[in-house]
Amino acid sequence: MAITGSLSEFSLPEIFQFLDQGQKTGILTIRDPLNLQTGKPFLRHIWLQNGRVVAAGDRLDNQGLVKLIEQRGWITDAVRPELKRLLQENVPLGINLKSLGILQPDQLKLLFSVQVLRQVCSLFQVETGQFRFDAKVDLPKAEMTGLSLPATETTLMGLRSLKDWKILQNKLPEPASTLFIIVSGQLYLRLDTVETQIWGLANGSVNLKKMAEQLQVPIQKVQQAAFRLIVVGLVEEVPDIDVGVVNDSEDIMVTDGSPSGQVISPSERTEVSNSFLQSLVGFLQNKV
Amino acid sequence: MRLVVAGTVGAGKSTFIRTVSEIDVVDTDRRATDETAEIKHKTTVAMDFGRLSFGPNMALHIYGTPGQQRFDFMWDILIRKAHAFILLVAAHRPQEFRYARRILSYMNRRVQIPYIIGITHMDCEGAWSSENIKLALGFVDEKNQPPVIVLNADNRDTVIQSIVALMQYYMQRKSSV
Repeated sequence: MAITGSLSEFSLPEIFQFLDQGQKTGILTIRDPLNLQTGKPFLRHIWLQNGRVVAAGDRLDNQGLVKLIEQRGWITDAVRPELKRLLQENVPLGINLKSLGILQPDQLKLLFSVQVLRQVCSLFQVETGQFRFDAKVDLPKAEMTGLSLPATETTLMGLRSLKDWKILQNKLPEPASTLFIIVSGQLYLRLDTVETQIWGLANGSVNLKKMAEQLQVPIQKVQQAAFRLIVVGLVEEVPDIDVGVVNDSEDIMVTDGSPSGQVISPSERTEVSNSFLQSLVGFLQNKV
Repeated sequence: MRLVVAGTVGAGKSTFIRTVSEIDVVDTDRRATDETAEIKHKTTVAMDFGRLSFGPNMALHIYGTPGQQRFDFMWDILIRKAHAFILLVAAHRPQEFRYARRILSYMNRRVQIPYIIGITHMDCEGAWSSENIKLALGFVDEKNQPPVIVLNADNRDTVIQSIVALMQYYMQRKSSV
Protein backbone atom coordinates (compact mmCIF):
# COMPACT_ATOMS: atom_id res chain seq x y z
CA MET A 1 0.00 0.00 0.00
CA ALA A 2 1.31 3.45 -0.92
CA ILE A 3 2.13 6.06 1.71
CA THR A 4 0.80 9.47 0.81
CA GLY A 5 0.67 12.82 2.47
CA SER A 6 1.44 16.47 2.36
CA LEU A 7 4.97 17.84 2.69
CA SER A 8 3.65 20.40 5.14
CA GLU A 9 2.62 17.52 7.43
CA PHE A 10 5.48 15.09 6.94
CA SER A 11 8.52 16.95 5.70
CA LEU A 12 10.99 15.71 3.13
CA PRO A 13 13.77 15.24 5.71
CA GLU A 14 11.39 13.07 7.75
CA ILE A 15 10.40 11.11 4.65
CA PHE A 16 14.04 10.44 3.82
CA GLN A 17 14.79 9.43 7.40
CA PHE A 18 11.87 7.00 7.25
CA LEU A 19 12.97 5.55 3.89
CA ASP A 20 16.61 5.26 4.95
CA GLN A 21 15.97 3.66 8.34
CA GLY A 22 13.42 1.31 6.83
CA GLN A 23 15.81 0.46 3.99
CA LYS A 24 12.89 0.97 1.66
CA THR A 25 12.90 0.23 -2.06
CA GLY A 26 10.49 1.99 -4.36
CA ILE A 27 9.58 5.30 -5.95
CA LEU A 28 8.98 8.55 -4.11
CA THR A 29 7.00 11.10 -6.10
CA ILE A 30 6.80 14.74 -5.11
CA ARG A 31 4.05 16.67 -6.82
CA ASP A 32 2.95 20.26 -6.54
CA PRO A 33 0.23 21.31 -8.99
CA LEU A 34 1.13 24.95 -8.52
CA ASN A 35 4.66 25.51 -7.32
CA LEU A 36 4.77 28.77 -5.38
CA GLN A 37 8.19 29.69 -6.65
CA THR A 38 7.69 29.08 -10.38
CA GLY A 39 3.93 29.13 -10.78
CA LYS A 40 4.20 25.94 -12.82
CA PRO A 41 3.29 22.35 -11.93
CA PHE A 42 6.15 20.51 -10.25
CA LEU A 43 6.85 16.79 -10.42
CA ARG A 44 9.84 14.74 -9.36
CA HIS A 45 10.41 11.01 -9.04
CA ILE A 46 13.12 9.62 -6.79
CA TRP A 47 13.98 5.95 -6.87
CA LEU A 48 15.40 4.26 -3.81
CA GLN A 49 16.90 0.85 -3.23
CA ASN A 50 17.31 -0.32 0.36
CA GLY A 51 17.09 3.25 1.61
CA ARG A 52 19.63 4.61 -0.88
CA VAL A 53 18.80 7.10 -3.63
CA VAL A 54 19.69 5.50 -6.98
CA ALA A 55 18.01 7.76 -9.55
CA ALA A 56 15.84 10.83 -9.93
CA GLY A 57 13.94 12.53 -12.73
CA ASP A 58 10.75 14.10 -13.93
CA ARG A 59 9.72 11.39 -16.39
CA LEU A 60 8.82 7.71 -16.35
CA ASP A 61 9.78 6.71 -19.90
CA ASN A 62 13.32 5.51 -19.06
CA GLN A 63 14.80 8.27 -21.18
CA GLY A 64 15.95 10.69 -18.49
CA LEU A 65 19.51 9.44 -18.01
CA VAL A 66 19.97 8.82 -21.73
CA LYS A 67 19.00 12.42 -22.46
CA LEU A 68 21.57 13.67 -19.93
CA ILE A 69 24.28 11.56 -21.55
CA GLU A 70 23.30 12.72 -25.06
CA GLN A 71 23.25 16.37 -23.99
CA ARG A 72 26.91 16.04 -23.09
CA GLY A 73 27.73 14.50 -26.43
CA TRP A 74 28.94 11.28 -24.83
CA ILE A 75 26.99 9.00 -27.16
CA THR A 76 28.35 8.55 -30.66
CA ASP A 77 26.35 7.16 -33.56
CA ALA A 78 28.51 4.06 -33.44
CA VAL A 79 27.45 3.33 -29.89
CA ARG A 80 23.78 4.15 -30.33
CA PRO A 81 22.63 0.64 -31.36
CA GLU A 82 24.47 -0.81 -28.36
CA LEU A 83 22.80 1.75 -26.11
CA LYS A 84 19.39 0.72 -27.37
CA ARG A 85 20.14 -2.88 -26.39
CA LEU A 86 21.54 -1.90 -22.98
CA LEU A 87 18.35 0.01 -22.13
CA GLN A 88 16.48 -3.30 -22.10
CA GLU A 89 18.89 -5.03 -19.75
CA ASN A 90 18.25 -5.65 -16.10
CA VAL A 91 21.48 -3.98 -15.01
CA PRO A 92 21.94 -0.28 -14.19
CA LEU A 93 22.73 1.47 -17.46
CA GLY A 94 25.74 3.24 -15.95
CA ILE A 95 27.37 -0.03 -14.94
CA ASN A 96 26.99 -1.43 -18.44
CA LEU A 97 28.30 1.74 -20.08
CA LYS A 98 31.32 1.72 -17.77
CA SER A 99 32.10 -1.95 -18.33
CA LEU A 100 31.98 -1.40 -22.11
CA GLY A 101 34.29 1.60 -21.81
CA ILE A 102 31.66 3.96 -23.22
CA LEU A 103 31.67 6.06 -20.04
CA GLN A 104 34.38 6.61 -17.44
CA PRO A 105 33.83 6.61 -13.65
CA ASP A 106 34.26 10.41 -13.50
CA GLN A 107 31.56 10.85 -16.11
CA LEU A 108 29.20 8.64 -14.12
CA LYS A 109 29.88 10.66 -10.98
CA LEU A 110 29.04 13.83 -12.87
CA LEU A 111 25.84 12.30 -14.20
CA PHE A 112 24.84 11.18 -10.71
CA SER A 113 25.58 14.64 -9.38
CA VAL A 114 23.38 16.28 -12.00
CA GLN A 115 20.66 13.66 -12.07
CA VAL A 116 20.35 12.98 -8.36
CA LEU A 117 22.19 15.42 -6.11
CA ARG A 118 21.16 18.61 -7.82
CA GLN A 119 17.55 17.56 -8.36
CA VAL A 120 17.00 16.00 -4.96
CA CYS A 121 18.73 18.74 -2.99
CA SER A 122 16.54 21.33 -4.68
CA LEU A 123 13.47 19.44 -3.45
CA PHE A 124 14.13 20.66 0.05
CA GLN A 125 13.16 24.15 -1.17
CA VAL A 126 9.68 22.97 -2.17
CA GLU A 127 7.26 24.62 0.21
CA THR A 128 3.99 22.92 -0.66
CA GLY A 129 3.12 19.69 -2.35
CA GLN A 130 2.13 16.10 -1.93
CA PHE A 131 4.29 13.02 -1.67
CA ARG A 132 3.61 9.43 -2.50
CA PHE A 133 5.82 6.44 -1.89
CA ASP A 134 5.13 3.19 -3.72
CA ALA A 135 7.13 0.19 -2.61
CA LYS A 136 5.87 -2.28 -5.15
CA VAL A 137 7.65 -1.01 -8.25
CA ASP A 138 10.47 -2.29 -10.41
CA LEU A 139 13.47 -0.02 -10.36
CA PRO A 140 14.19 1.57 -13.76
CA LYS A 141 17.66 0.22 -14.56
CA ALA A 142 17.79 2.55 -17.58
CA GLU A 143 17.75 5.53 -15.22
CA MET A 144 20.44 4.23 -12.89
CA THR A 145 24.10 5.17 -13.07
CA GLY A 146 25.05 2.40 -10.66
CA LEU A 147 25.91 4.98 -8.01
CA SER A 148 23.81 5.63 -4.95
CA LEU A 149 23.70 7.66 -1.77
CA PRO A 150 21.91 6.99 1.53
CA ALA A 151 18.73 9.03 1.68
CA THR A 152 19.88 10.67 4.90
CA GLU A 153 23.15 11.83 3.35
CA THR A 154 21.11 13.46 0.63
CA THR A 155 19.09 15.13 3.37
CA LEU A 156 22.23 16.49 4.95
CA MET A 157 23.38 17.99 1.67
CA GLY A 158 19.96 19.38 0.86
CA LEU A 159 19.44 20.98 4.25
CA ARG A 160 22.90 22.50 4.33
CA SER A 161 22.09 24.42 1.17
CA LEU A 162 18.59 25.41 2.27
CA LYS A 163 18.30 29.19 2.53
CA ASP A 164 14.73 29.61 3.74
CA TRP A 165 13.86 27.41 6.72
CA LYS A 166 10.37 28.70 7.31
CA ILE A 167 8.78 25.54 5.89
CA LEU A 168 10.56 23.51 8.55
CA GLN A 169 10.20 26.00 11.38
CA ASN A 170 7.66 23.94 13.34
CA LYS A 171 9.82 20.82 13.03
CA LEU A 172 12.92 22.35 14.58
CA PRO A 173 13.94 21.25 18.08
CA GLU A 174 13.05 23.61 20.90
CA PRO A 175 15.72 25.89 22.36
CA ALA A 176 15.09 24.36 25.78
CA SER A 177 15.63 20.79 24.53
CA THR A 178 18.81 18.81 24.89
CA LEU A 179 20.31 16.29 22.53
CA PHE A 180 21.51 12.76 23.12
CA ILE A 181 23.74 10.79 20.78
CA ILE A 182 21.98 7.62 19.66
CA VAL A 183 24.59 5.97 17.48
CA SER A 184 27.54 3.99 18.68
CA GLY A 185 30.83 3.41 16.98
CA GLN A 186 32.53 5.56 14.42
CA LEU A 187 30.71 8.44 12.78
CA TYR A 188 30.16 7.57 9.14
CA LEU A 189 28.98 11.00 8.07
CA ARG A 190 31.14 14.03 7.51
CA LEU A 191 29.80 16.90 9.61
CA ASP A 192 30.37 20.60 9.13
CA THR A 193 31.87 22.80 11.84
CA VAL A 194 28.68 23.73 13.68
CA GLU A 195 27.30 20.21 13.41
CA THR A 196 30.53 18.81 14.86
CA GLN A 197 30.43 21.27 17.74
CA ILE A 198 26.81 20.43 18.53
CA TRP A 199 27.57 16.72 18.26
CA GLY A 200 30.24 17.25 20.90
CA LEU A 201 27.70 18.82 23.24
CA ALA A 202 24.99 16.21 22.67
CA ASN A 203 25.27 14.65 26.12
CA GLY A 204 21.97 15.70 27.61
CA SER A 205 23.38 18.33 29.91
CA VAL A 206 23.46 21.40 27.64
CA ASN A 207 20.30 22.65 25.99
CA LEU A 208 20.30 24.26 22.55
CA LYS A 209 20.01 27.77 23.97
CA LYS A 210 23.13 27.23 26.08
CA MET A 211 24.90 25.66 23.10
CA ALA A 212 24.22 28.81 21.09
CA GLU A 213 25.65 30.95 23.87
CA GLN A 214 28.66 28.72 24.32
CA LEU A 215 29.41 28.47 20.61
CA GLN A 216 28.51 32.12 19.95
CA VAL A 217 26.23 31.06 17.12
CA PRO A 218 22.66 32.35 16.57
CA ILE A 219 20.08 30.03 18.15
CA GLN A 220 18.37 29.51 14.77
CA LYS A 221 21.59 28.12 13.32
CA VAL A 222 21.97 25.77 16.28
CA GLN A 223 18.37 24.60 15.89
CA GLN A 224 18.88 24.00 12.17
CA ALA A 225 22.11 22.10 12.68
CA ALA A 226 20.54 20.08 15.49
CA PHE A 227 17.60 19.26 13.20
CA ARG A 228 20.04 17.96 10.60
CA LEU A 229 21.67 15.70 13.17
CA ILE A 230 18.25 14.48 14.29
CA VAL A 231 16.91 13.60 10.85
CA VAL A 232 20.03 11.72 9.85
CA GLY A 233 19.63 9.60 12.96
CA LEU A 234 22.68 10.71 14.91
CA VAL A 235 20.98 12.33 17.89
CA GLU A 236 17.56 12.52 19.47
CA GLU A 237 15.87 15.58 20.91
CA VAL A 238 14.85 15.29 24.53
CA PRO A 239 12.41 18.05 25.45
CA ASP A 240 12.83 19.88 28.69
CA ILE A 241 9.88 20.87 30.82
CA ASP A 242 8.99 24.20 32.28
CA VAL A 243 8.96 23.32 35.96
CA GLY A 244 7.27 26.27 37.61
CA VAL A 245 8.00 25.18 41.17
CA VAL A 246 11.22 23.36 41.90
CA ASN A 247 10.70 20.35 44.12
CA ASP A 248 13.41 20.14 46.74
CA SER A 249 12.70 16.48 47.42
CA GLU A 250 15.82 14.39 47.90
CA ASP A 251 14.39 11.84 45.51
CA ILE A 252 15.06 14.02 42.48
CA MET A 253 18.56 13.50 41.10
CA VAL A 254 19.80 16.61 39.33
CA THR A 255 22.87 16.61 37.15
CA ASP A 256 24.97 19.74 36.84
CA GLY A 257 22.11 21.89 38.00
CA SER A 258 20.58 21.71 34.56
CA PRO A 259 16.90 20.72 34.34
CA SER A 260 17.43 18.51 31.31
CA GLY A 261 19.39 15.88 33.16
CA GLN A 262 16.73 15.10 35.74
CA VAL A 263 15.82 11.47 36.15
CA ILE A 264 12.89 10.71 38.37
CA SER A 265 13.91 8.35 41.12
CA PRO A 266 12.17 4.94 41.10
CA SER A 267 11.65 5.24 44.88
CA GLU A 268 8.75 7.62 44.21
CA ARG A 269 6.85 4.73 42.70
CA THR A 270 5.09 2.16 44.89
CA GLU A 271 5.91 -1.47 44.28
CA VAL A 272 3.27 -3.47 42.44
CA SER A 273 3.04 -7.13 43.38
CA ASN A 274 2.61 -9.98 40.93
CA SER A 275 -0.62 -11.03 42.61
CA PHE A 276 -1.98 -7.53 42.03
CA LEU A 277 -1.03 -7.69 38.37
CA GLN A 278 -2.46 -11.16 37.88
CA SER A 279 -5.71 -10.13 39.56
CA LEU A 280 -5.90 -7.09 37.31
CA VAL A 281 -5.27 -9.08 34.14
CA GLY A 282 -7.85 -11.68 35.18
CA PHE A 283 -10.39 -8.97 35.94
CA LEU A 284 -9.80 -7.25 32.60
CA GLN A 285 -9.93 -10.46 30.57
CA ASN A 286 -13.32 -11.21 32.10
CA LYS A 287 -14.60 -7.87 30.90
CA VAL A 288 -13.83 -8.53 27.25
CA MET B 1 -1.21 1.14 40.20
CA ARG B 2 -0.84 4.18 37.98
CA LEU B 3 -1.10 4.06 34.24
CA VAL B 4 -0.48 7.14 32.10
CA VAL B 5 -2.08 7.56 28.71
CA ALA B 6 0.13 9.81 26.63
CA GLY B 7 -0.12 10.62 22.97
CA THR B 8 -0.47 13.10 20.19
CA VAL B 9 -3.28 15.60 19.83
CA GLY B 10 -6.46 13.91 18.68
CA ALA B 11 -5.13 10.38 19.18
CA GLY B 12 -7.93 9.55 21.60
CA LYS B 13 -6.43 9.82 25.08
CA SER B 14 -9.52 11.24 26.79
CA THR B 15 -11.78 8.87 24.86
CA PHE B 16 -9.60 5.90 25.87
CA ILE B 17 -9.98 6.71 29.56
CA ARG B 18 -13.67 7.51 29.26
CA THR B 19 -14.30 4.18 27.52
CA VAL B 20 -12.80 2.05 30.26
CA SER B 21 -13.22 4.03 33.47
CA GLU B 22 -15.82 2.83 35.95
CA ILE B 23 -16.22 6.35 37.25
CA ASP B 24 -17.13 9.44 35.31
CA VAL B 25 -13.86 10.71 34.04
CA VAL B 26 -12.58 13.79 35.78
CA ASP B 27 -11.61 15.83 32.79
CA THR B 28 -10.18 19.28 32.28
CA ASP B 29 -11.47 19.93 28.80
CA ARG B 30 -11.32 23.50 27.67
CA ARG B 31 -11.71 25.33 24.42
CA ALA B 32 -8.56 25.00 22.42
CA THR B 33 -6.97 28.30 21.49
CA ASP B 34 -3.56 27.45 20.03
CA GLU B 35 -2.66 25.33 17.02
CA THR B 36 -4.65 22.52 18.65
CA ALA B 37 -7.79 24.48 17.77
CA GLU B 38 -7.19 23.63 14.12
CA ILE B 39 -7.59 19.97 15.05
CA LYS B 40 -10.25 19.96 17.74
CA HIS B 41 -12.68 22.31 19.34
CA LYS B 42 -11.79 21.30 22.89
CA THR B 43 -8.71 19.75 24.39
CA THR B 44 -7.43 18.58 27.75
CA VAL B 45 -5.55 21.34 29.48
CA ALA B 46 -4.37 19.65 32.65
CA MET B 47 -5.17 15.96 32.76
CA ASP B 48 -7.91 13.33 32.65
CA PHE B 49 -8.42 10.81 35.40
CA GLY B 50 -10.25 7.50 35.38
CA ARG B 51 -10.32 4.43 37.59
CA LEU B 52 -10.83 0.68 37.47
CA SER B 53 -11.39 -1.08 40.80
CA PHE B 54 -11.16 -4.86 40.95
CA GLY B 55 -10.86 -5.82 44.59
CA PRO B 56 -10.47 -4.50 48.12
CA ASN B 57 -7.85 -1.76 47.93
CA MET B 58 -7.02 -2.76 44.38
CA ALA B 59 -7.49 -0.20 41.67
CA LEU B 60 -5.90 0.93 38.46
CA HIS B 61 -5.68 4.71 38.21
CA ILE B 62 -5.47 6.02 34.70
CA TYR B 63 -4.16 9.48 33.96
CA GLY B 64 -4.27 11.20 30.61
CA THR B 65 -1.68 13.80 29.69
CA PRO B 66 -2.61 17.25 28.42
CA GLY B 67 -3.51 17.66 24.79
CA GLN B 68 -1.19 20.43 23.70
CA GLN B 69 2.33 19.88 22.52
CA ARG B 70 3.97 21.59 25.46
CA PHE B 71 5.83 19.60 28.08
CA ASP B 72 4.86 21.64 31.11
CA PHE B 73 4.94 20.87 34.82
CA MET B 74 1.83 18.68 34.55
CA TRP B 75 3.85 16.06 32.67
CA ASP B 76 6.30 15.83 35.51
CA ILE B 77 3.52 15.43 38.08
CA LEU B 78 1.80 12.74 36.03
CA ILE B 79 4.79 10.58 35.26
CA ARG B 80 6.46 10.90 38.65
CA LYS B 81 4.63 7.94 40.15
CA ALA B 82 3.53 6.19 36.99
CA HIS B 83 4.19 2.46 36.70
CA ALA B 84 3.61 2.18 32.98
CA PHE B 85 2.29 4.17 30.06
CA ILE B 86 0.65 3.73 26.74
CA LEU B 87 1.52 6.06 23.89
CA LEU B 88 -1.43 6.60 21.58
CA VAL B 89 -0.65 7.58 18.00
CA ALA B 90 -3.23 8.46 15.36
CA ALA B 91 -2.40 6.47 12.23
CA HIS B 92 -3.77 9.07 9.83
CA ARG B 93 -1.85 12.05 11.19
CA PRO B 94 1.82 11.71 10.16
CA GLN B 95 2.39 15.34 11.12
CA GLU B 96 2.20 14.18 14.74
CA PHE B 97 4.77 11.39 14.48
CA ARG B 98 7.59 13.79 15.28
CA TYR B 99 5.85 14.85 18.47
CA ALA B 100 5.26 11.19 19.37
CA ARG B 101 9.01 10.62 19.08
CA ARG B 102 9.61 13.56 21.37
CA ILE B 103 7.20 12.13 23.93
CA LEU B 104 9.08 8.82 23.85
CA SER B 105 12.45 10.54 24.20
CA TYR B 106 11.14 12.59 27.09
CA MET B 107 9.58 9.64 28.89
CA ASN B 108 12.48 7.25 28.35
CA ARG B 109 15.02 9.74 29.64
CA ARG B 110 13.04 10.71 32.73
CA VAL B 111 11.32 7.47 33.75
CA GLN B 112 12.38 4.03 32.62
CA ILE B 113 9.01 2.30 32.84
CA PRO B 114 7.36 -0.24 30.53
CA TYR B 115 5.19 1.10 27.75
CA ILE B 116 3.33 0.01 24.67
CA ILE B 117 2.28 1.87 21.55
CA GLY B 118 -1.44 2.06 20.80
CA ILE B 119 -2.32 2.95 17.23
CA THR B 120 -5.71 4.57 16.75
CA HIS B 121 -7.76 5.71 13.75
CA MET B 122 -6.50 2.81 11.67
CA ASP B 123 -9.80 2.87 9.80
CA CYS B 124 -9.38 6.50 8.71
CA GLU B 125 -8.41 7.59 5.23
CA GLY B 126 -4.68 7.98 4.80
CA ALA B 127 -3.88 5.77 7.79
CA TRP B 128 -0.34 4.42 7.80
CA SER B 129 0.31 0.74 8.50
CA SER B 130 1.60 -0.36 11.93
CA GLU B 131 4.93 -1.30 10.41
CA ASN B 132 5.43 2.11 8.87
CA ILE B 133 4.31 3.93 12.00
CA LYS B 134 6.84 1.97 14.07
CA LEU B 135 9.51 3.01 11.62
CA ALA B 136 8.41 6.64 11.66
CA LEU B 137 8.65 6.53 15.46
CA GLY B 138 12.24 5.39 15.19
CA PHE B 139 11.87 1.67 15.88
CA VAL B 140 14.20 0.07 13.40
CA ASP B 141 15.34 -3.01 15.28
CA GLU B 142 12.61 -5.67 15.60
CA LYS B 143 14.20 -7.04 18.76
CA ASN B 144 14.22 -3.70 20.50
CA GLN B 145 10.62 -2.57 20.18
CA PRO B 146 7.75 -2.28 22.61
CA PRO B 147 4.51 -4.11 21.81
CA VAL B 148 2.29 -2.31 19.32
CA ILE B 149 -1.49 -2.67 19.51
CA VAL B 150 -4.11 -1.37 17.12
CA LEU B 151 -7.13 -0.12 19.00
CA ASN B 152 -10.24 1.96 18.75
CA ALA B 153 -10.44 4.32 21.72
CA ASP B 154 -14.25 4.20 21.50
CA ASN B 155 -14.31 0.42 21.66
CA ARG B 156 -14.21 -1.01 25.16
CA ASP B 157 -12.91 -4.41 24.15
CA THR B 158 -9.91 -3.10 22.25
CA VAL B 159 -9.10 -0.59 24.98
CA ILE B 160 -9.19 -3.35 27.61
CA GLN B 161 -7.08 -5.62 25.41
CA SER B 162 -4.47 -2.90 25.14
CA ILE B 163 -4.33 -2.50 28.93
CA VAL B 164 -4.03 -6.29 29.29
CA ALA B 165 -1.16 -6.24 26.78
CA LEU B 166 0.54 -3.51 28.78
CA MET B 167 0.12 -5.40 32.05
CA GLN B 168 1.51 -8.59 30.53
CA TYR B 169 4.45 -6.65 29.15
CA TYR B 170 4.94 -5.06 32.57
CA MET B 171 5.06 -8.49 34.21
CA GLN B 172 7.48 -9.73 31.58
CA ARG B 173 9.80 -6.79 32.14
CA LYS B 174 9.53 -7.14 35.89
CA SER B 175 10.51 -10.79 35.81
CA SER B 176 13.50 -10.14 33.56
CA VAL B 177 15.07 -7.56 35.92
